[in-house]
Amino acid sequence: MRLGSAFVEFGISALFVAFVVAPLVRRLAKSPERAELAVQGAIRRAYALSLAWLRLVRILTVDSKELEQLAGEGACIVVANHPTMLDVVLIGSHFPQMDCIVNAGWTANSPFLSRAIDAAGYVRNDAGQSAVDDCAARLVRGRKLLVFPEGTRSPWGSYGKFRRGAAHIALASGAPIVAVTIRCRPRMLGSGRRWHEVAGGTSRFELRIAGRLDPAAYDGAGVGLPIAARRMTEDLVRIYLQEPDVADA
Amino acid sequence: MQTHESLIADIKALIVEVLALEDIRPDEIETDAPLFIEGLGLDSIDALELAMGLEEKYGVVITDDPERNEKIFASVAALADLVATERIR
Repeated sequence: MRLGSAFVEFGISALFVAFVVAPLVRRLAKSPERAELAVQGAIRRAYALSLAWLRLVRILTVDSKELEQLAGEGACIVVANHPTMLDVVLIGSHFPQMDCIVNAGWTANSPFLSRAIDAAGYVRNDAGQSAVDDCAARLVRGRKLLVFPEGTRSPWGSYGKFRRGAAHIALASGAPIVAVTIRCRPRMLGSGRRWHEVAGGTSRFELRIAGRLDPAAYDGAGVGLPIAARRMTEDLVRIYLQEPDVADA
Repeated sequence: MQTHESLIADIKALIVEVLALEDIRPDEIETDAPLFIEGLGLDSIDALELAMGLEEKYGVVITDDPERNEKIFASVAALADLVATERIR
């Protein structure tokens, strides 16, 4: 039950953020934005703690040093493939401030997670234009954003359909898209797998920066926003297709 | 003054153009069929782009009101009704 212990730890962290950190921060913070940032800082610490636990019980080893170069950068849209449940923890542990777009369907049936997500100011993916505007405004203020363009975990051994939301947010804000690849060998905690179906061994996670896209290259081409967003998303897909063995089962 | 039939044809052409639907001709879109989930199977980003296109071409303003938008984007016929009553160009 190595993984069971990790889930218990993660659950306690989420409850702690939702019911201890968030109310305290709301009382003490000078503005709603400061409160969000404080909660995001607490979430990063919870992620780092979860990762330390997962390493300790030898569920995984992680090489994500490349992401450290993003920490010093200002606003950017970090996008990644989504092979496992732990992806957000792996990426989020690097950044004291990181907004996320979360799957609205997934949060609907988890009141505790919903509380933590609202306290952190995360954006749900079913809000259309206001979600794009909201995310763009945050990026303009220098914040970072994490988006999984497939909208949910990647199918086992391939990619889902990439949605164009990240490109629209990049075009609206001028912030670049940074494409991160997540490799996990042997695969675990993937789509369609129960969380307790983990082999007895240790999985190795590798996170790399595979490319960057600057919205300015698409914006001035004399085409409308929809076409620009489409081209940008096609190029994003191309980055992932050129990466060997990311999506192998 | 544009006839309702030609407005419906224009909106179908706009849908194909804005959403770059390469495998479908405007006249293949059914006027009363649902645009989202079933029917054309458009997603929320498609709705966003379509709203931009309608705003640019007809000057109709589509806000972020989920209940209203569900009615507006129900079908080409519903879109044509909105454009006919609210267009400024």
